[in-house]
Amino acid sequence: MTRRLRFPLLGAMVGGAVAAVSCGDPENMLSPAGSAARRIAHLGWFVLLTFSVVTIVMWGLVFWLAARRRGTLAHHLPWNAPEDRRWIVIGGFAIPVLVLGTIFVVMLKSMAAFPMGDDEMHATAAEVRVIGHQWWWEVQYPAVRAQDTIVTANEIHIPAGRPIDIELRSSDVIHSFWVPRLHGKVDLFPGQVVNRIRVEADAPGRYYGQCSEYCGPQHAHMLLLVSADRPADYQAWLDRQRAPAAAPGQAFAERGREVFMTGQCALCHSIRGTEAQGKVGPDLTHIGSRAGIASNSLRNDTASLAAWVTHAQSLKPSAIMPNITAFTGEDLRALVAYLQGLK
Amino acid sequence: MSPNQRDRACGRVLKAVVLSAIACACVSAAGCGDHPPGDSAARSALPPMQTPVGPIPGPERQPARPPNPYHGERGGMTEGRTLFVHFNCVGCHGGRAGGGMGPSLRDVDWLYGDTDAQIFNSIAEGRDQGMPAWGTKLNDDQIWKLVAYIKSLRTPDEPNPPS
Repeated sequence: MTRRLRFPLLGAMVGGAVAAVSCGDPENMLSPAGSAARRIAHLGWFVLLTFSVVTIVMWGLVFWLAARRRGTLAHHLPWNAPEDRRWIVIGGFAIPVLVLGTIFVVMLKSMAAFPMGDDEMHATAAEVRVIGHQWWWEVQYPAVRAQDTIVTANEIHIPAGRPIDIELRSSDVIHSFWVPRLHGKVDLFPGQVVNRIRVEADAPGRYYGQCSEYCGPQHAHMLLLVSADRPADYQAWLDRQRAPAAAPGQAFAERGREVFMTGQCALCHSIRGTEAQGKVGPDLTHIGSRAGIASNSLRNDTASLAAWVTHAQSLKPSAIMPNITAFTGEDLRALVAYLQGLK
Repeated sequence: MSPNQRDRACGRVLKAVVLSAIACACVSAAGCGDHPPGDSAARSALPPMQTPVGPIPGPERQPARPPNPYHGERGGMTEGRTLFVHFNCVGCHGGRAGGGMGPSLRDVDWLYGDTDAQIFNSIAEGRDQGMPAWGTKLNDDQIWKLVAYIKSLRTPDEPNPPS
């Protein structure tokens, strides 16, 4: 590398790192959007800076030594001369204890800020329940009356500026809930173990998360959207989601409803307010209001919906959705129109 | 090479030979299990299931069913094959029931049992991890035809077998 190129390149690298940190892309844990994530990010920065200083000092010593040490052993003291042992005591023991001890204390302080004990976390009922499936997220908003319980999938809405407890379970294998801009990771376990996470978003916005415990071939296509809404919008969303599905307005969508009910869709999917009560796949009562399908690995648009119905196994091999190809084109379009109308 | 060096080199070769002999013995001891010779290529690594696990642990608690009216009947098997395609069983279990995203029905493993009644219940009531309950969509007659088709797999009677 020529000398002329060195500084621009270094500048570009530093600039790139700063841009990556500051541009606030949806899954960047270094641009926290909530109090819990901020504590984790602060700890991360502290550890990163401490180790950067240690690394720079150590490399400085290595270069200094390389430049300085010349000649034979006769010119130097042997390594185990008594006056050199204090380097081992200071550099090999005292400084590491100081640095690691400081990090340990700072880390304990950060951890103490999170609700840790079962008593604290389970004192009140969780507002949201998330159940991990291979490979999608079932989302429930439990209510006292069973018919008021909201069941949706892959999209959680929370009010901005208020902490929300989320209960985490799994139906099959271990998954992990991680929305990097809001909090750290908490695992979802099958069986009797119920975990909790308390998230809070400072401002309205969309925050993406991802399953972060390998859970099978489609682990990477298990995305989660957390939408933080203004309190009034959140309440409106809850009210909309609580309502059963609206009857299709136009004849074309009505034809789609018939395709859904008479075909195989209704066996696996539920649409509240209709005879479709399948419990195998995600609840589709308000599928038209969601941003994504296939656990947010596809956008919720006409092309993706049709492709997902006919060729799910090509888009997400071994997902629980089979390929369903026995449609006329008209029936498929009607089905998609019906699903899009379920706002 | 001095005699001393030669001795040391010989010792090293001897040690290597002894160690590899031990390693070979270990590998072959682990490799020769109790499966009959010549069978290994045809079978998967796992032994076939001896007992089905069933929907819930403990003794069988499934509804009893009458015998299959289409047992061994060619017409029922063929109609079962038609239903198998029409209701998109092929979407999960594969075009010739050899498995896809759902389990194979051609192999010897039956998680929920392979009697006519058990297969009927698996179709009618659904099973964990993806099998929906078809009892609301199909009548008993259609399910029995599907059972007849599934039982005909890998037999000479199988309609439209894989070539």
